[in-house]
Amino acid sequence: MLVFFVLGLSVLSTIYADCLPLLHLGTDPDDVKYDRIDMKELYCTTNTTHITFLITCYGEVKTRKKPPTLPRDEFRVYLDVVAGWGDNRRNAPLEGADVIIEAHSQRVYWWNGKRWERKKTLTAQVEVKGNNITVTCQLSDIQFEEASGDIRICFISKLKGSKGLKKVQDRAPDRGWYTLEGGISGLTFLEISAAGLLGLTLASRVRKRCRRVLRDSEG
Amino acid sequence: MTLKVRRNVVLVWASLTVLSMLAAYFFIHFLDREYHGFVAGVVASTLEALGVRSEAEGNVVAYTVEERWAAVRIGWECSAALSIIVYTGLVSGLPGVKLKKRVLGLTLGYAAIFLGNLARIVLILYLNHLFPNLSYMLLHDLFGRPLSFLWMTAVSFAWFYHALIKAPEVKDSSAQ
Repeated sequence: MLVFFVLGLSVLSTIYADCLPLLHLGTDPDDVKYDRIDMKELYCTTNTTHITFLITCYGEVKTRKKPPTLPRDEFRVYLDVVAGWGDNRRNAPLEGADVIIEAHSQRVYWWNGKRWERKKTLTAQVEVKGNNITVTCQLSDIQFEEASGDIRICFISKLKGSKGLKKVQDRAPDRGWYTLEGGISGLTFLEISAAGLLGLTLASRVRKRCRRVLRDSEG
Repeated sequence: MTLKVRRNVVLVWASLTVLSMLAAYFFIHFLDREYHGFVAGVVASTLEALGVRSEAEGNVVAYTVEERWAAVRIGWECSAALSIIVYTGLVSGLPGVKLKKRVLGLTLGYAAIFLGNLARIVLILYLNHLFPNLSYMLLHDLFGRPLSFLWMTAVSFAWFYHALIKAPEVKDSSAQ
């Protein structure tokens, strides 16, 4: 009880941050002709309600005339939140992705099992400043809290108006995904049950021995 | 004890175990966010006490590895929720144990499971901080899993020892 009291106090005394420090997801090489869509550093951070992605490009990001807070070129964040679910079509832009956040249109798409479905009630907050683009959306919009395993993240940029996969100018990371670790898995149900049964068996043996000792002493 | 009575005892034992596990499951699921946030907060403050810069926000713990921030989400799997559910079943289902004993068993058992799990997470993240080139999943498989199994065995043994060895019939026979 005392231990729990001390632990409780320690948690209360912990100063919770407004949001976590920026988690560096990775660095992408300077491999695209147009610096304004060539991604350099990728970060992400969360607080209790929102997740923010920060994309830093090699050059200054061009903004739209209306509204000036959005990038002119196309930037997308692909997420694989639910393991084993997502766009697994042969021509899928990113195999396994189940959420797309578009920075240039502020739209959020979910994979519904057959196609990408736009969630009209959801919008991402996007801001462009110099070389940086910040994309923020609610954790509930991407089912962040329901995710039990790792969350995989990938970024894609294209020039405005270019269509099709071949027109992807930059991808970060160049291969695979960035991973937001899902936690340190504990014992499985079977292992815990086995441990419980082992405890029961050991206790039963000790009990039998105790009884035998008692019987012997009585005899 | 006749075969029929024995069968009934086993049936009651199994039913109570399953029912109490279900009750614990729904209770923990109900407190999901708060409980995981609490675990994340305790992990962050323990790491901070050990000299590792760390912060908690919601169910995410961020800690420093080689001057950079790394993050781990505390979810269903790593918050010992499953252990608590199974332990609830083991304690609540066992027939012929007084309520007071059960409550004591549950309280001490929960505390032990929570602290054991806390030690496991903190140990793995601390080792990851010290040896950044080692994957923490490797550390988990090397230390976390075997230690967790032994700890869970010890906790359940302690409960059954408490419930069975100190059972009234043994006490009575010793009194005679």
